[in-house]
Amino acid sequence: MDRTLTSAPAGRHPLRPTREHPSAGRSVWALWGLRRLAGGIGVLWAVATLVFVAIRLIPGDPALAVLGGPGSQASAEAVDAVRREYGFDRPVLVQYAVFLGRLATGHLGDSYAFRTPVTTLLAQQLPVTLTLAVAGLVVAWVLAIGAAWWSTQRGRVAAALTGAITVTASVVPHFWLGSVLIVVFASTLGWVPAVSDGSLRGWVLPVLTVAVPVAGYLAETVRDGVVDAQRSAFALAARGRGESRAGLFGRHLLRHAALPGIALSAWAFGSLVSGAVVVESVFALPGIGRALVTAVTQRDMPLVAGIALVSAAAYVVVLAVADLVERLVDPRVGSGARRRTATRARDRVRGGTHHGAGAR
Amino acid sequence: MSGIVDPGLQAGARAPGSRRSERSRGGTLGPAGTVAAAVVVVAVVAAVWPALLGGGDPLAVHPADALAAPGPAHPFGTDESGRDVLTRVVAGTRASLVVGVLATLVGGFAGIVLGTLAGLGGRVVDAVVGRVTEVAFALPLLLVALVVIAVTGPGAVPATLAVGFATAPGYARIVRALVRTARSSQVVETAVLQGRSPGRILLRHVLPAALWPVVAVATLGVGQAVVWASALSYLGVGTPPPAPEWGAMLADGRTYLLTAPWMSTFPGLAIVVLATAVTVLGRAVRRAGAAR
Repeated sequence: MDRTLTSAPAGRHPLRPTREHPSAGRSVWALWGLRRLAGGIGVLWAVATLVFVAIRLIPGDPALAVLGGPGSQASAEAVDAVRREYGFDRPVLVQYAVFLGRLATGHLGDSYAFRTPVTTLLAQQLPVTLTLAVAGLVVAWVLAIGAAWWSTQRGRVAAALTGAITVTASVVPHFWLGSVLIVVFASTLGWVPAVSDGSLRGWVLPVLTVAVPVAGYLAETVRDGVVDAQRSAFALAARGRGESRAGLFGRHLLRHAALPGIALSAWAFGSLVSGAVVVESVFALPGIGRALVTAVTQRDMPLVAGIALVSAAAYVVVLAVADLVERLVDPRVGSGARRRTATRARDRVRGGTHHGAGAR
Repeated sequence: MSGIVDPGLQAGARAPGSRRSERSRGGTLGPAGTVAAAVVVVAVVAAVWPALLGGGDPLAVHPADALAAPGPAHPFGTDESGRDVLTRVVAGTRASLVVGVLATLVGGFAGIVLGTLAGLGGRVVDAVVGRVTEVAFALPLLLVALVVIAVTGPGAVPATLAVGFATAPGYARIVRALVRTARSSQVVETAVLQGRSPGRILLRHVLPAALWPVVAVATLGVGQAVVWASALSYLGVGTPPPAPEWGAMLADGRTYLLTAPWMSTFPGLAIVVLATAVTVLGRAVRRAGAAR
């Protein structure tokens, strides 16, 4: 997809209207909100259904599973109580309805391993994981922009070097990167603590570990966008006006390259959460990722279900925010060119042409 | 860099039966691709015939040599039971590569079935499959894999299946796009006009067009699958220790991270090198495929 002078302009077009019908703006936004809401509820409903099926697939008595599996030594009365409470003695469809009803009213059940409501556990652990994911995304963007600058503005050697580093960065496993960082910066140099102690310095290594793989593929997309933009008419015009190299990069090329990156950030969220699951184990951070691993080893299904739902809900929100940002940044809402570019960038990540099918 | 639809367009426009063997394109892999191919070949040799590179028994215990630093006798050092890390890294190639390839096959096959259904089925089928993959994408890959393991229990086979199922939606999306492109291509249109049966068109024209780009993407996917499978082992729900598996070895080395960092460094380095090589090779193969 070469962008030459004759093809559709890649940057802002001076002649294109910023909004097609300013008067129709409000209803467009209302429609957007409704569609997002409906889509989000649909995703949550589907995830809840999958979780319900997953719980039913566990061999043995589901009431026992709720109470902690065959090894839980639950009393007969407790099993009976759970069976009545969840309606395990009733038809599957009724159970499904009960399950959905409990979810809709915010009842995620009790974690058998921690003997506390799942909602309480999630409230304690979610901030840790969210901090990790959000800080990771910010750091990843900084690294990605730096890498894009190096690979497009510093000659061929820097480009080849950055290319090799970004490929490696995008496949490096979190658990190994975390270990290496601990050995180098915590053990040998002693700059930061090895295990997170709640202080700001304790966050440095976990955030960096989560950020690097995401930065790897974010950098590749941003670089592609910058290379694309360099060939466009607006870059030539800006250079003609005497724009400096840094100015051209920061004010023009990056703006063009950032939009696919924003769409990509929403999809990077999945990768960040996957990373958080591992990184929380490496650095002993008390987040939902570590809770999930514990829950899976102990087959604590209520907690697994709760984490899956919260994670899906977070994803729905992130996707909506990314869409919102995209719409605010880009005036050409709904009109062909930009949506296509953004969708393509997204498809690249979803489809995984860059990084295999497992970019999440 | 072309989007995912582009190779499909080319593949769809190409006359069927002209697929050349991979060897004849060796020259177009480029220097990075050639190095990556060499690394992958070494890994395959290590997987098929570990004795050739490492020698020895990866499970042999020598308590007297426990936690020895890398040296002439043990180039990569030894672990807490005196097992040679180099031998274990070489022996672990098989486990990691097998899991990575099998997981990709599971994911790729599930993806091809789903994607073909969505691409050829009516609007309703397409919408249903589209929603399902959308939902699967709503969950982080590791979370999907962990939910699968929560149902099946831990182990090497569940971990393989989990990674496979977690990557399937990605393949489904690609296959769907490729199948839809191929369906509207002139080759298929001509075949329809010639009165060929739908099954024949599917097998002769649509699937071959979709297959090649999927193979390229799946090559990239093997690298990711190796990483995710070893992540599951690291978390203690995949291949259990003391089996020589890279992720499990890293999990083992965690306790001794500060006293014997070589226990973690070398297995991890093996994952990085293999995953990077497979990724670079996958891209080179895709470029070579797109250049034809």
